This record gives sequence, C-alpha cells and structure tokens, in this order.
Amino acid sequence: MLRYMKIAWKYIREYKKRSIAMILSIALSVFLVVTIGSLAESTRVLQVNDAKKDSGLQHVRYDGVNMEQVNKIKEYQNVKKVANSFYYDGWNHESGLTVNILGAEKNILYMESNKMKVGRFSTKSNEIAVEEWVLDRLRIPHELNQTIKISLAENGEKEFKLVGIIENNLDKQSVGNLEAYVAFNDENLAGRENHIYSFVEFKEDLNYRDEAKKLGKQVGVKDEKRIVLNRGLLTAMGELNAIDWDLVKKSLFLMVVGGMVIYSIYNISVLKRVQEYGMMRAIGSTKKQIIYVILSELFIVYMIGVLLGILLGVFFTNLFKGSTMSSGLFTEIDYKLDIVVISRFAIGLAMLTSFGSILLSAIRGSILVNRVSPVEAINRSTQDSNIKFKERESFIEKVLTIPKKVSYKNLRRNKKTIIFTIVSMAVGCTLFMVQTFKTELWTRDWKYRNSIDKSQMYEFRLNTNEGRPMKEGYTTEQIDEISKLPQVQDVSFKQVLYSELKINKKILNGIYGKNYIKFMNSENGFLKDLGDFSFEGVTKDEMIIRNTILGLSDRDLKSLSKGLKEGQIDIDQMKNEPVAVVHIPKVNEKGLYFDHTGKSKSESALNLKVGDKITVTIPKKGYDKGIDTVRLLAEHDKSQYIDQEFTIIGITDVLPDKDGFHLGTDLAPYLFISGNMFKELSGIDKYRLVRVDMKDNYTEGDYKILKEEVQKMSEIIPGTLLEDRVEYLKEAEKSDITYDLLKNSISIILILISGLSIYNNINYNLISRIREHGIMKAIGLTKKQFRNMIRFEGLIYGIISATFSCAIALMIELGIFIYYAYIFDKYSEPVLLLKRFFIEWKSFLIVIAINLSIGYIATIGPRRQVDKIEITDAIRAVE
Amino acid sequence: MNILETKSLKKYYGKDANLVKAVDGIDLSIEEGKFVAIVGSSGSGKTTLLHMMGGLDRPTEGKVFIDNKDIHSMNDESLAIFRRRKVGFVFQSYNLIPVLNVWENITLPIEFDLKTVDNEFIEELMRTLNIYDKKNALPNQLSGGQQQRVAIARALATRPAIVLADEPTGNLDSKTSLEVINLLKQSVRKYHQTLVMITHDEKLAQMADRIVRIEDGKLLNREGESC
Repeated sequence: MLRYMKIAWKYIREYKKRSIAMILSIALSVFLVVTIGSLAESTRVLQVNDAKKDSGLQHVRYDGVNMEQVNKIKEYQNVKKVANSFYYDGWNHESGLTVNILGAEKNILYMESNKMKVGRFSTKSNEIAVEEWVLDRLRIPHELNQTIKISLAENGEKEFKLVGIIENNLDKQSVGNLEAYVAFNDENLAGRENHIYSFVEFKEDLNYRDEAKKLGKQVGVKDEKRIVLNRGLLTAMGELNAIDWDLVKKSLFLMVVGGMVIYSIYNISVLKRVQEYGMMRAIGSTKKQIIYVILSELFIVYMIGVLLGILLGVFFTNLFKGSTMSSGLFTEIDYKLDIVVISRFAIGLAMLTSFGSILLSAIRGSILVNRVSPVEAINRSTQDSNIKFKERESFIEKVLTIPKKVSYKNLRRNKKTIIFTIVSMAVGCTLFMVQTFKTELWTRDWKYRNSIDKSQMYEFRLNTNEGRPMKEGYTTEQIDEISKLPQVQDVSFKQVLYSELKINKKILNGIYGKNYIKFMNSENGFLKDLGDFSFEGVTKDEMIIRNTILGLSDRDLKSLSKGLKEGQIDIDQMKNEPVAVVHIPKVNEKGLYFDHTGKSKSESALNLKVGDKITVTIPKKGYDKGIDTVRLLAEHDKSQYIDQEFTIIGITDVLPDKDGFHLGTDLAPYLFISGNMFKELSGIDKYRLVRVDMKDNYTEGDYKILKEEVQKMSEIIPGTLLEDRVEYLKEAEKSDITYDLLKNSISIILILISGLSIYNNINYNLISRIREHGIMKAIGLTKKQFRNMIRFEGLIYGIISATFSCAIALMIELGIFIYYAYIFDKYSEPVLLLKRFFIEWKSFLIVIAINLSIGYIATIGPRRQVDKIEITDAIRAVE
Repeated sequence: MNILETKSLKKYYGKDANLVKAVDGIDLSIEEGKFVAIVGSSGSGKTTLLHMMGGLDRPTEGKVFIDNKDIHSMNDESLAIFRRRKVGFVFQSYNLIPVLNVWENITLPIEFDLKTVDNEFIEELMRTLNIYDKKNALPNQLSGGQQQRVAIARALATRPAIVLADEPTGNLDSKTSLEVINLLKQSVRKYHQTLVMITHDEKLAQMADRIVRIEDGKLLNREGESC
C-alpha cells in the first residue's frame, strides 16, 4: 500500500495546481459544513436559551403529586434536577394587588433561569423571598431581614421575614404576575400535601418524552393531563417529536451543498487523470493497482483537505464568538455573539459528506478507467467522445461571434460541471434571498399589526382590576397628566365593559360553535370561579354568552379599520349610531382555540356577518348600584340588565387590544364601539386600559422616573395590573437581532463558499483548456479577443447562476407567502395579516451583482495565466 | 521574389552551462510559390525554426521578413492579425477545436478577422480536400486523415501567402500521408501559395521543390556541412 501511496504522492506533487484545486474543494466543503453547522447549532442554542427563559428548564412538570411521589422522582436515576412547589396562599396587599405565594425549593429559581440577587432563599416557615420588581410594586423597601405583615387570603394575617431578594423574572414582570416564595417544608405544606408541582429536568441525551412517561408511570401519575411536557423547550431542542426533523433537514441541506462543491471539481480532476491511468495500464498495471493508486490519492487529498477545512471552520467560527456586532437596523446597541458554539456534529457531518463525495468521484473514475482500453485512455478519446453531434445550431449560437461560440459550446459540453457549480452557487444565493424576504415579510406584517394598535408595543400597560367596580377607571385628566411628562411619547386609553351577548343558537357555526360553547363551559375554558360562560335565554333558541366591549377613541377606530376582514368603519356613524365591529374567536372542531399539532382547521365559533344585528345585554343597573361585577355577571339576574341592539359594520380577525383579566378573556367575543356609544350605553366615561409609550432613546434615568410615575398612577385604583415591559422588550430585541445575525451569517458564508467554489470551477475549467486557447491564438486570436472570450464565459456562468437563483428564490418566496397567508391555520388569529406579496428587489440585485462579479473575477486569474504562457508551449501542453 | 526571409535567426534557451542553442544563426530565403521541405533529425531545431518563421515564437536574435515585413518588430496584437491573414499553420496533432464542427473549424481564422466567409471558396476548398460531406461533423467523429485535411483547409481558408506545416503526416499511415501531401501540394499550387513543410520522412521530402537540411540549429549545405 505504501508503494501506491508513494505514486499517489508523486502525482499530487507533480500536478500541484490540480491537487491544490482538489484539496481546496474538500477544505471549502468541510469549512462550509463546519461553520454553517456551528452557526446553525448556535441558533438552536439561542432558541433553547430563549425557551428556557420563557417556559423554564424543566422537561416535564408533574401536577398534583404528593411527597412520596416527590421522593420517588428525586431517586430516579435519569433525573438531573428537581424543583418542587405548591400554592401556599394569596397575599392581599393593601394596594389591592394580589400576590401569589408559592412554597418552593430553591431549585425553582434554577428552573426559571433565575437567581438570587441578594440574601438567600426561604428555608424556614416564617421566611419569604421576593423578586425585586415585586417589592417595588408593593412599595416595600429592599431591606433584608425586615418583617413584613402579610394578609393571607385563607390563613389570615401572618408575619414573614424577608430573607432574600430575587432577580427580576422579565417574563413575569412584563405581564405583572406577582409572586413570592416561602419555604418548602411540612409546616407550610400542611393541607396541600397532594397538590405539589414537581418540575423535572432529565440528564442529557435522553428521549425526554419517553422518560417523562416512564417516570410518571413509575411514580404513579396515571392521568396524562397531569404530566405536562415543556413543549416550548422540547420544540426548541428538537426533542418534541420522535425525529428531529429540523436537524435532519439542515443536515441534508449541508450534505448536498457540501457534496456538490467537492464533486464538481474533484470529478474533473479524476477524469483528467484517465490518460495517465491508461498509460499505467499500458505499461503493465492491473486494474486493481490503478484503484489502489486512486484510493491512495483520495486518502491523502482527503486527509489534507479535511484537516484544513476543520481548522479553518473552527478558527472562523471562533472569530464569530465574542465578536461584537452592531445591528444598525433597530438600535445603536452592539451585541455580543457569545452563544456561538463549535458543533461536533457538524465536524462529523463534514467529514462524512466530503468523504462520500470524493468516493463517488473516485468510483466513477475507477469505473471509467477500467472500462476503457489503455489505448483509448492514452488517446484521451474518452473525453472528447462525450461531445455530442448536433445538427441544428441554436438561436444563441447563431448570434454569437466565434470566440464566444467556442465558450458557449464548451459550457454546454461540460453540462454536469456547470449544473453542479451553478446549483452550489444558487443554493447560497437563494437562501440569502429567501431569508431576506422572510425577514422583510414578518417585519412588514409586524409593522402593519402595530399600526392597527401601536399600543401593543408600549412599554407600560395599566389594566384596572376586574374586581373593581365597572365605573372605576382613569379620568381624562389623569391620563393628560401622564401624557405631559417629558419621558412620554404617547398614551393610548380604552374603555372596558364586561358584558354578555344574546344570540340565537342558529348562529353557532355547526360543530365548531357547539363544541366551543361546551369547551368554554368546561373547567379548561372560562374560569369556573367567575361563573358559567353561557346561560339559557328567554326562549329555547336563545342563548346568552359572555363577552367584552371596548370603547375606542377616533384614532383607535381609524387604526382598527386596517385589521378588518370584512366591512368598513365610518367614524361618524360609529360615534352616533349603535354600530360595532366584532371579533369572534376561531376554534377547531373540538372547540379549542389553539391546536398545537397545527393539523386541524379553524373556523369562527359564530356565523356573523356585516349587516347582522347583535344584542348586547349588560347589568347596567347593577353596575350603577355598585354590585360586585363578578357576582353580577355570574348570577345573571335579569332585573339588573338592559339590552341594546348593535348592527355589525365590521368583522376583525385581529384583537388589537384586550382586557388582561379573566372576565375580559379573548376566548370570548369582543365588540368594539366608539367612546361616544360606550358612554351612551354604559354611562361610564372612565378608562380601564392605559398604555404608555416611553420616548425613543430613553436613558436609565428616564426609565426610573417614568416607572415611578406609572407606579403612582397604578396605585390610584387599588389592584391595578401594571406591566413593565421595558427589560423584556430589550431582551427580545437582542434575541431577534442575534437570531437575524446568525441567519444572515449563514447565508453570507454560503454565498462566499459557493462563490469560491464557482471561482475554483471556472478557474479550473479555463486552465484545463490551455491547449485549446493556444491553438486559437496560433491561428490568429488576438489577446483582446481572447480576453473577451474568457470574460464572456465567466459572465455566462454568472448570468445563469443569477437567473437560476432568482427564479428559484422567487418560487420559494411565493410559496412561503401563500402558505402563511392562506394555508397555515394553526392559530385563531391569522399568522400573516398583511396579505400583500412583494419582491425584495434589493436582495435580487445583490445576488445578480455577486454572481456577475464572481463570474468576471474568476476569469482574471486564468486569463493572466494563459497570457503568460507562450503559444508554442500551450500547444504542446498535455492537459 | 522571396516571400520569406530569415536573417541570422537565433533561438537560445537557458544560460551558461545550461544554454541550449535550438536555432543558431539561420539565413534562409524562400521563393514565392515554391514547396520547401525542411528536414532534420529529432531535436535539430526545425520546429523552432518553423515557429519563428510563422511568428508563433519570438527569436532571441535575428529577423524574419514575410512579404518584406519584419514580423518580429510588430507587437503581439498586430502579429496575431498578421499571422491569421498571411500565414496558415498545419500542426502535427491537427489541433482542431473539439467543440466546433468541421465548417466552423475551417472558418475559424476568418471569423477571428470578423470578415464575411466566402462560402463558395470554402466549399471548393473542402471539395478539393474531400471533406465536404463531413461539413457538420465534430473532430471526434473523423479519422486522423480527415482531421488533418480539415486542418489543412483551415490553414488555406484565409488564402495566406505562406502555409507552414509541421510534420503534417506525423500521425498518419503511409498511404494517407501520401494522399495528404498530394492534396496539400495541389491546393497551394491552385491558390498560388508557398508551402514550407517540416518532415523527417525522406520520401515525402523528395516531393518538394527544394529540400533544406537542418542539424543542431544550423542549416547544412549540399555537402552536409553547417552554413
């Protein structure tokens, strides 16, 4: 074998340029797979990190377990970490706010991707730990070891010592979810022994779905509804389904592109060796010996190429890591890509792919060499015999001058190589264009959605508590006061009325509507503590269901018209007549709002159209009397109610804003009317929803001041929900930008590598025809004509590649648009609201420019090289 | 009248101990319309001489005059244009462009010149060389003899003043060789051209009007001495 290695090594050294081309193609391909694989894995890491922040680190949660089961869980061999908690009691703060107190083990912070800021977690019965923002909300100073008197909903007054302050959980802060933690011990657990929530994180590299089931069975959790998989995390990890289709898709893609890069160049090299191998056979080598030489060369070239490619890939990926990139798109903030990882899987995949590709080429070469006689091989007639005879000249050939015709014909002759070269280039460019299109599609849709109600992106959101009397809310004077603050850009305010609709059962949309009512009346639907969702009407055809009415300003009504699926908004009409825009929830056949499998179709629960009349029934008399809202709506005492008929003038699929409490659930229909009509109907002129937009380029100081002012405003009406989304939005933006950076990096690397590959191929293709060029020069082709010919050839590559890329990208983009606009029906709300297809011209122009440039640049080297060679030498050259 | 003249033509490669004198001071004059054979052993410098005579290679020293023009005083561009109009080359290994058919290969130098092809002339040429029926064939579909005839046709297509043939029958059998030489002779006679042919075959050389012998880069006189 060493003998063959020596021969192979001699060939490699002798034909340096060809060897370098082969090594380069392998190295490029490996580099591509390693770098892109690593960046793709980094994207996954980012997604997993985000999922952990959003939905916790646990793979599964077991509900309603007892201590015995908890102990069994802890003993299970495949469990990495467990955190147990239970609902201890509700803290009724004097501000009217309610804090959920949970008894929990310290590991709960780990599960929530959180940690202590100062102090320690609660371990004794009279100890409590609270998040920093919760303390702010309750106006409790950040002093450890202070005693706090807590009014518990079930257990009266009790004193707790504040032993720890926890870092802010941005998710909870953004939705105003107030929680505190007491110790997980027997005393606190008393009476709640069978209501423990056990959060379980399994060890690495296991099938988490199966482990969750197995463990559940082992500890005796029989009801599947009590085994709650962390779908968000498992989906991000690709672990939710039996096969990680995302990884499979990415791997196949990388293998194909990586493989093509190698095959196209390696193939040429092997074929060019046919003459030499034929010579060897002529002087006595056996077929087997030829194969050994081919394999030896393959092995040497592979080892050098792979090593080089891996080193380059690791080096390049590390350059990304820790690099600071500024987005320039949204903010001036620089972000560090510190989540970049080197993917061992990608390295393995790269080695496998490149080996597979060159093996294919080598097999092809071996078959050819051994099929062809030594004489034929020496005469190189095998190569030229590939040229097919054609009777008719194509139109293009007729119009081309002869030098360009030669180039054109050579391109047609090397169809496979061209196809491979162009496809490998097109993949990178297409991905870039499609990526750009997708980003722009969602950006445009996001902007459009925001234009329907900009306040959805405002930093602070106030929502009067559902427990407060309906008449309560913020006055225009109070709203004006906050609007005038220098830190405030804009304030949006809406009126809320919890009400009911009187409907004829006929308008229930078949099985969708019937099951919707069933679901809403079940324990998983409308909150049972608030009463039933639906009631019987006066007649047997009549039914009464819960709903919420929002009173909107003129500005908000105007914006709402953008989100209408049907109908039109006439603001004057809305102000003076009882007309309304409705939002009816879309459900699947089971009456469910959301189907995580994404397989079922969804339809409106009620068959309502523009022009229909709908009767609103509200306990106005009860509201006027100040009777408790929840009781009023639950008991449905008709004597307290008045009816008002509205004509539907518009239907919207999008809920621009909503009340954040259970009574204002978006699972029930929403009606939007003008502020005028709202006052006429309810007699209420106060606002329960206030959204505050902080000015752009705010400082930390601005944030602190405004936060304090908004906090003060929330305290005017006890129990008001305050959502502070500042940090949450910042983190989300950082994540989005990092994600985009990674995705774009992948596209750019693909283009670069494909570009290098196409450069390599064109280069090699031209160099390998030195003799042909020499002949033409010998019979009178001038240097200028030669240059034009070569340039033409390079540009043809570029044009074909650009056309192909653009055509494929356009088709894919159209497909994506159609899918999201018309087919994807997983959610109740449309995924894509702005159903307007567009062509992202910028990316197309960039791709065309890149392809033409590469095509042109690729010819510079060969041109110079061929120019340097004497005509007589070129004629004599053995290719 | 002398159509081609060389004066003290030299071509040296390398230097000092590695100096190779491929052509070492050749003075040669060739009359218009004559068929001259250059004969010499392998490595004698005949191909190098032919290449310099045709402007494919530049001499180390000396001059080449074609039609009283010092061809090596021209720049590359002008030389290429001059060559395609005035000189026709026939190579030993045919050197046809594999992707072009017979017609296209023959008209290639005319196309380079951006001139209109005289279809009648080319057809006549092809009939003379007996390759008209292979007009649309590709080189890989022709025999060696046919390919060489195509190469000859290409060399004659622009009606050059001189046809330089470097061992045109080197890859052919004896019967075909004779055929090709006769055709070549016939064509240049018909179109009043001068033919300079390199050969190592004495029999073929005898068909020429004049034989020039070369050895070690120098011409030999009738007595076989260098001059």
